[in-house]
Amino acid sequence: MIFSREDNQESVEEIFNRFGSLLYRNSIIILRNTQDAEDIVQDTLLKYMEHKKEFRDDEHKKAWLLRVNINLCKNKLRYNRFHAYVPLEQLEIPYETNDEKEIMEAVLNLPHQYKEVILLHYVEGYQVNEISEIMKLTESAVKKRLQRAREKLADKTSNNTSSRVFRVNVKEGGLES
Amino acid sequence: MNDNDFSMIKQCIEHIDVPTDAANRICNLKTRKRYHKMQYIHRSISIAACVALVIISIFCFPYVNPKEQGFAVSVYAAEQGTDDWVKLSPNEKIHLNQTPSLISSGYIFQLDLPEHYQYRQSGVSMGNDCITFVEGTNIYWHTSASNNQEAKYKLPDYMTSSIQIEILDDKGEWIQTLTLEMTKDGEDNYVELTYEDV
Repeated sequence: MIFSREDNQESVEEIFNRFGSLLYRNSIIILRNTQDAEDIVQDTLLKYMEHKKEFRDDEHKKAWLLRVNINLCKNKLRYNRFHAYVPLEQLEIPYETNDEKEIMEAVLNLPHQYKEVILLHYVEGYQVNEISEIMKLTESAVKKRLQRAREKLADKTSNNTSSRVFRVNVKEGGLES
Repeated sequence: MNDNDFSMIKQCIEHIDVPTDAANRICNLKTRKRYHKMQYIHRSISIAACVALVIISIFCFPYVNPKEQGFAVSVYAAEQGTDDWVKLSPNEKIHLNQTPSLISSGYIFQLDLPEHYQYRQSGVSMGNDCITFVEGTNIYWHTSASNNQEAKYKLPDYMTSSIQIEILDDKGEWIQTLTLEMTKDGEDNYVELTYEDV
């Protein structure tokens, strides 16, 4: 069933409430910068409002938004490569354990093409054929990227020491461990 | 890396949420639209400036090539009443001033040729005057002494002659002919320059 354009065109707030977090965390992981991530989410919403596309269903809409978001992130990365910039703040993600921190650092340090497939497959739960449609790649290319991403992650996490790392917080009056 | 690790990644990423102030900023698309519009205007102005520069340089190009200019060479001479050498304009007669540095009295015409251009000339004479071409680009018009009234063969007070100079470009092709029309009127001497393209 195909919705008409008028039915399908939600307001900015509605779209943001439904997909905002998804787009934001994708952008954060790929760009590693909250300011850029906010700009990219805005641009994704702008594209949605401007294009007024017909969607088959919500999944189609979600996949379209993801694709636009990923492409905009890639454009931003390419732009940053040629234009020097200083990030305003360091990205901070709350971790519960050190293992989480270790793995997430490894994910954040992956090249962007591997981050994209990791996000789509392990976080959003898309299968290989769905990822190939979203990213306009062949299925074998998607499988290859997933395989390489897993190898890189395994490599990075095995290089770190397995001993416990004590987290040190600095407070007024002294150190607290 | 096992399934636990990937579920840990999923858990960790799903904990990332949009802060409230960021959410308000993101939903305000007007500011972003304005930013995009300014970017578009700046880019359009830059592109328009580049295109304008290219068009201007294309139109100016003919003036760079001396062949396209219509006149491949310039000729300079000393004019009466001026201290500097003047560039001869086509079809304009000028009253020549004698050049003091010669062995005999006379006039010098200086040719200004583009690089690697050459010329060939046809011989000329006028009465007892002598025209010589010095290697390089100088033409000397050696005037004879005043008309000897007692000479057996008296020359007329008014005489004209012309020098034909054929200009060859850097490929050796004949592209233009200069003609210096010299006029001797008593003690006064004149020259007029004409061009003819081949």
